[in-house]
Amino acid sequence: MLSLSKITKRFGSAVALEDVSIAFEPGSVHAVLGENGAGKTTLMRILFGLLQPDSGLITLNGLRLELRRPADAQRAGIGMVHQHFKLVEQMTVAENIVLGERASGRWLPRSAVRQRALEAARRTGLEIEPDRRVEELSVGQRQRVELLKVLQHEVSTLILDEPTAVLTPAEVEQLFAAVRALRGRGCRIIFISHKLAEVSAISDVVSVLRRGRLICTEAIGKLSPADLAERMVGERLAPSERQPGRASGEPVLELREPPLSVRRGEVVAIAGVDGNGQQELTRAIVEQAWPAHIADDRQREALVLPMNVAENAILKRHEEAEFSRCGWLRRAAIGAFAERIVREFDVRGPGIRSAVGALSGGNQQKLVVGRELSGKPTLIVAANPTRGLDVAATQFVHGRLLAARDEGAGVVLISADLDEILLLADRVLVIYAGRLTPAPPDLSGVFDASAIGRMMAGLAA
Amino acid sequence: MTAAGRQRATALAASLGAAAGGLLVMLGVVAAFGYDARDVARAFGVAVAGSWDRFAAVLLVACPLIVIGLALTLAFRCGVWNIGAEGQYLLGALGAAVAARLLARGPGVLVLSAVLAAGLAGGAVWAGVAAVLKRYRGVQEVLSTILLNFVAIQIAAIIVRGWLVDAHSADRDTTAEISAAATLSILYAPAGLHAGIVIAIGLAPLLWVFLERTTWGFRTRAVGLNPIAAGLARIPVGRFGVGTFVMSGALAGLAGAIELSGNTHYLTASYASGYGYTAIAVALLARLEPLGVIPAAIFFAALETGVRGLQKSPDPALAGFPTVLTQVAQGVVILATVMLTRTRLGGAGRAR
Repeated sequence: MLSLSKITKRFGSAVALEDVSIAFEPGSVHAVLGENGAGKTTLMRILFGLLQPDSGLITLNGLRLELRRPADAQRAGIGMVHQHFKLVEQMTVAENIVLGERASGRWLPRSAVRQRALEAARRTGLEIEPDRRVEELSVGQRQRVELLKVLQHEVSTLILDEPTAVLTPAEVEQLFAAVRALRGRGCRIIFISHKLAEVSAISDVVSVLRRGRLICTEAIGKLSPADLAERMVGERLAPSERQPGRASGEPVLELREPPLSVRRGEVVAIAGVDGNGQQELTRAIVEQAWPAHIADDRQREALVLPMNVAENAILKRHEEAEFSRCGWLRRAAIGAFAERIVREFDVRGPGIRSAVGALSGGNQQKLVVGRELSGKPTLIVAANPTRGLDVAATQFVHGRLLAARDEGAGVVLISADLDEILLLADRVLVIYAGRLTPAPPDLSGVFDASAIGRMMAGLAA
Repeated sequence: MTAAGRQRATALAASLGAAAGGLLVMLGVVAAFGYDARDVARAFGVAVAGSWDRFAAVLLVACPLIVIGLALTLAFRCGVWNIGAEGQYLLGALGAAVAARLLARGPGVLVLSAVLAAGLAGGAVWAGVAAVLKRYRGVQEVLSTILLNFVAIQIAAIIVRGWLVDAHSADRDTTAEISAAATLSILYAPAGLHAGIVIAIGLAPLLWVFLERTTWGFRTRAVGLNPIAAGLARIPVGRFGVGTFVMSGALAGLAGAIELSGNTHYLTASYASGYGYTAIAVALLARLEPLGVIPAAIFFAALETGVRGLQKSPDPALAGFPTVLTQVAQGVVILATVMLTRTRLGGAGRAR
């Protein structure tokens, strides 16, 4: 029995995991299910020795495990196949499998490398072609190499982090066959996913995480995908004080592919699990309309970290007459503008002449929001605008978006956070595999959270 | 002290530390070679600052280093890793020599302006080749510029030996001296210090003003520090890359023209000086601050002049002093600069 008890992990002021206890039995597939940001990956990184918990215990068969680094986890028989493969593309399959192993002598002849790889393949029952270069392999084949790399050791616990994210359905079937074979040999498999159908198909037990807390651990037998969706998404009641927008009918965005239209005075929310086409959608809107844009990755897309607050405040507007005259920057006007954003949007930091990189994440985001909303935009695209923010900053950003809507802006909110969507949206579309589908209309002014959750997971509403 | 002020102070301390560290390591190596480090230090000091003549000679070497250092500062600030200043400098000098030959007679101001403009053009064209290769074929400029340096050396040699050759020269591998109208005036005759130093020192604050006070400079910096965010702010990132590259080349070419017009007055088939490479160290030690380029260039010029001075020293204990020690010191200074502080080199965007 591998047990996590009362694991808590914080990053700064944000709680990633709180008081999570799960026991993993040998010879079973145990799924850990949750939305993005629910804490799944953090939990697995702790279990693999990549992160240390702030508090809590990990025990294996009653003995306490100290997992300070991945080597400790490996010694305890814990192996992990990462979501992003860690293979050397230019090397052969056999070389990749042997890579990182202690060589028995100074020389490592090709025949020995091949032999060891084939031996590992035979033992695990995973078929490989030892002499092919990894760069020639399909994604599914690469994953098999990763799996073999882990399984050549005595592994009693195998962690699979979103293993099906990049696989075709046929490859998923092959992976599942391998997983079942491992289970038959008494291996304990931890399967991390947010895909409900796959969780139902492969696992014996499921633990659901939501916002860093364990919601439940149950045998899968009794649960339908719909039940899972409800647990993952939670019972949500939209707050009663939510003021619906007054869409004025005047469109501010007409996108042809994928079809999407947004009118003044409404928040159109695009709900979806990350990686379902949100980036492409954002790019399409940005390139067509150049809206005010609260970017998903503020440090990469919105800010120039070494530049100061004032310079970042005018990054998109430096050509306007207010801020430049005949090619010269108007320093006084820029400073005044930056001071105004800092004041109105409560950006806390060492001042407008210090680098944006010195601000905390929340204050960086407030600066971005302030900058983007300051020009009285008619169209706003906000992608996960509160990801990583604390409660106060989240409420602040939400308030500003609603205020902009009430002043007549059309807002496209792209978010993986269903709470955020339920709180802000006047209309909801679900994005799955690049396609937009309207969520069922609500009768009482409250969206059906579990229906949206099911659609986000690729199931029929 | 404000956070920004603290940052500047740390940067300054790091640069000074790197320079001092370079000198100390050089003295250590000197001692290991069996010289008395104190003798060397004293002789070195005399060679670079013993008299006004000596210091003027340092400034004479610093002049091209300042101009090229500024050229590279501009490029690096835009995220363009122009390693080809040597070639751009050479073709600038070549352009200037061609202009001086074509316009042998004419009003002085006009001839001189044409010579300097031809230097700008020569460097710009050469950087333009690499810029176009980068923009349209995706060729990394770190590779193309350094390779184009070798091409530039050969082009210059061919033209010097051919069209521009002075038929009276012994080995037929130098050009004739440029006409008096094409020369920069001499400010301090004993060291041959020319008016180019005024241009060089004047360019530094101009570049600072450009970068810090104009919208173009603002965009240049934004592109260099985060091209993705700059692109999303509708700054034409690709065009800025090309434009800054060409401007950087033009400045390096101007350095070549100034050197020809003020100092050497003729070209040889092997005119390459290494200034284009030393200037990379100058720009880095200056931490890509235009005003820092002046002291950094003087520092490296002093290193070079000082070691040359040691060799000519009347002190018999210093006979046969190895010049290669300049390069040791240069290397140490660059390494120390990069080590002591995270320079913006290669750090466009962010480290995550």
